[in-house]
Amino acid sequence: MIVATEDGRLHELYFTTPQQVHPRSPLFQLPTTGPHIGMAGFYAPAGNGLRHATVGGADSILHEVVWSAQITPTVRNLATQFNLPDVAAIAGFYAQDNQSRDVIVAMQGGSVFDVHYSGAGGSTTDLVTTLSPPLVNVAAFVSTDSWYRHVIVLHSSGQLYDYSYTPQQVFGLTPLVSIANVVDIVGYYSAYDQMRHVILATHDGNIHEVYYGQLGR
Amino acid sequence: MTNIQHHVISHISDRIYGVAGYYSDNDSTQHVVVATYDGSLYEIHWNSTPLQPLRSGSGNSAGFTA
Repeated sequence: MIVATEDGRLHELYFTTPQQVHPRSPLFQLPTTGPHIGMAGFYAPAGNGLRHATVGGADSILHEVVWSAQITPTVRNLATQFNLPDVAAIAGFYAQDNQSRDVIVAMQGGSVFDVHYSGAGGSTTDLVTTLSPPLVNVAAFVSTDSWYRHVIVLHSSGQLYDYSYTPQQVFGLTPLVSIANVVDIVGYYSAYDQMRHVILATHDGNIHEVYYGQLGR
Repeated sequence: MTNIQHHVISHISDRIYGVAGYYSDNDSTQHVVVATYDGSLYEIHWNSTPLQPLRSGSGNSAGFTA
């Protein structure tokens, strides 16, 4: 678990049970402080065995920090820059089928970008889709039964969407549910039941789970 | 037509700042971590039925297994 605080520090908590939590604090000091727009985190097992955390900083730069238990954290700036006030949220995933690291950036104006790279070289930014604005949050994950990339987008109305695609084809947009007063969202795929999950926290303290199988079936 | 299910799995009394979540393949367990404004982190984990949240430690968070 990676926590970013407004002093520009990243903190790592690792555990096998909640009773035995080991902090690594601070894990890293970013070259920026102040409120950040969001963070994406994932582990790239087959790629380089490194943990990746990408933070959209108050300086409007995407800072990517990589490390492992044996490798000291280092930072680099992803080439594509976004204007912080225009960003709704960021998310990210590692796609094992093409060893791609992907950071999804949702803009309040409705555009959703995929900043991705698969090697030591630079990153590429693609426009994933454009939805009706304003967007307020995003989550992203890969379902390994179909290798679809799922970009979960929350509209300010509370409507939640799944936009799915692979590098070769687009499945498209699926409305999921509408939930008011959402604080934050996250998404993941569970292999044991082959379900896609979106977790939403709402201002009343409730934690909601939305789950579904392979889209189109 | 895909069957989309929605339910409330838990409740956190403190004011929620953010949420992270992931699936750990080695034990087929889903984990949801909730950060609250008082600096606490709560973990909810399950492999069939969500359990009560456990306070794990103490911002914006992202989770994954490594």
